[in-house]
Amino acid sequence: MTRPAASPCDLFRRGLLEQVRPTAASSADAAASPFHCDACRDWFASARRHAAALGGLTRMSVEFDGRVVAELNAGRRQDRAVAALRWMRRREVPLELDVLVRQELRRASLAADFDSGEDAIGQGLPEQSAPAELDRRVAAEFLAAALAGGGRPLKGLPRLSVPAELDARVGADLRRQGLAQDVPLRRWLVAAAALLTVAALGAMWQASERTGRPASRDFRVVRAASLSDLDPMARGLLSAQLGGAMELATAPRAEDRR
Amino acid sequence: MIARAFSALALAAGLTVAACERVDVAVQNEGKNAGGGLTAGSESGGGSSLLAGNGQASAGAPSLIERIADSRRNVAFVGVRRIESHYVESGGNGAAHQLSLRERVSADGHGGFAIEALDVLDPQMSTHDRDLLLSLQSIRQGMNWRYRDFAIQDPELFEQNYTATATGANVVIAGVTCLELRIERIDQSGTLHMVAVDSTTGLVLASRETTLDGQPVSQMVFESLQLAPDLSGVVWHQRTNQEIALPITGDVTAQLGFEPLSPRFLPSGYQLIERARIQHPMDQTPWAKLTYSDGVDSLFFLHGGPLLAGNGVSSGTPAIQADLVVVAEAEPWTVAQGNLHGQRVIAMGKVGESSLLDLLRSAFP
Repeated sequence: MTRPAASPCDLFRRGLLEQVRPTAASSADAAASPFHCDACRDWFASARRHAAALGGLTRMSVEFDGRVVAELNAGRRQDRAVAALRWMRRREVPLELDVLVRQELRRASLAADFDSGEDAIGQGLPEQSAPAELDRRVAAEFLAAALAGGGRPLKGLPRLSVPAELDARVGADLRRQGLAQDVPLRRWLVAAAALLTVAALGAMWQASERTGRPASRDFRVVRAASLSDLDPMARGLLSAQLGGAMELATAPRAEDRR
Repeated sequence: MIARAFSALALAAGLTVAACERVDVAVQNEGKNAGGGLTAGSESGGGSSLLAGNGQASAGAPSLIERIADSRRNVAFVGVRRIESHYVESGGNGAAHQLSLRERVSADGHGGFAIEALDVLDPQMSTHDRDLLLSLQSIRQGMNWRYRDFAIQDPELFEQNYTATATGANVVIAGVTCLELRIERIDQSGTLHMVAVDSTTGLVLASRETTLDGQPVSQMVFESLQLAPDLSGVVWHQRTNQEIALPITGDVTAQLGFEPLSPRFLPSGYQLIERARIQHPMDQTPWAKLTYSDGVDSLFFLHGGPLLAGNGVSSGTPAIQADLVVVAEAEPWTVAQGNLHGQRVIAMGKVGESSLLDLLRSAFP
């Protein structure tokens, strides 16, 4: 059994659409005209009911109009564009590009050595700082570790070997500034890490004291006051499971809408 | 109300558990029932044959359970039926709600279907509210077909988790003599289903679901039924929710824009049967919808990806704070939603709160 593309019923109903109005007069006119079949009569009754339901909806004029304007103004468009960019998937670097970049860096490194320690690698390239996202993630990692009472074992992370290019850049930079032997870099790093850990632990201890909840990565559970408080996504899906009965409890009554 | 709605049915009379016998799901076991308890009270007098391809107990013929599972896709029919839905809202005032309506359901035997709500029987309401509710039902017909109506979604999972027991009573629904089955989970959890099945087509023509302590959940009974009808006037259901099916395994990051979480803990008997991409109705952001089933009931895990500015799961006023789960119950359903560890998540199912919370916990590393 296949569905007809445009059955006689379909053609007849297209003609009836003009008469589907949420007003009693036009409905009476259409009802007086002969129908193609019983199914078309039922269809018209259903369509008229939908039209009446839609026509009877209260217009949320002020609030809705305000939202539309807010959504369409220039500033909001920029927000949407930013949100869309955030959702974009990060593209993988093609292998060929990776290889070419490495070759280029290696060539530049050799040239720097050949030019008696001149830092040819960094010439013309802007100074790059860590992205804000990385900063945020590192901070979150420290906080999470403090919350969990040790949390993720940072010391257990595998140590990555330093790329030769980075080694060359650092070496060239240090040679240029003449600080290769005098800067107590490791000592500064250890001190900074210790300070950060102490500060984070103190902040978490204070937060725990204020809220009275355990310092763990688990979540708190609270009861919804009503099903109408559920997120629209959850409410829609639950309503479907309940066969529409939920609308009766959560929808405003007719007298409330007036 | 419940008694009135089902007084026309002989389903209640069929609760004669003393005459019950387990319906074997597998075809090869059906012969064991020949001459057994299924024949007791059977109008057809062929209890065993009902379970084996309409009297032909040949190897390879679908079992009754398989026929029930396939019937909605393979049988063309039009019928008018009465539907009742009940739930008790926990929290708040703990009020009980119910809805009774009449609807026409059509199927073309090839997967196409339509459910047209015709009238609201209970509760009484204004004409405008009635029209609005019926219009909403027409929008929701896809969800009603997939999730509200009793269906065996997966025969293998059904066999693993459920027992189907013939009560020994045959009931007549819309002029069709039906076999009455009591369907319940083997571990005695979940809800209890009493169904009346046309053993020839496998169509479920009446069903009643109750909680284990007897509270009504839903009821359905056909008032009329036409097999192989003229379907030329039917307006078939078309998807309106922009749901896109995703492969059940493998990386779907490209389709969603984020890597979906996947709970490692599931309530007993549930398995993943569907993955899909859906859109949040308000902010249009993509969500992953993971549907699990135990063979009959569904359980959902929804993941909306990472929290971005202002897109968190909301719960009235104030909005849900980070790492806070809001639980709501509409017995037998439980819903848990929250913004956890920077991710938007929702879970719901006919399971207890603790199971649902364990499921949420297990979704995070």
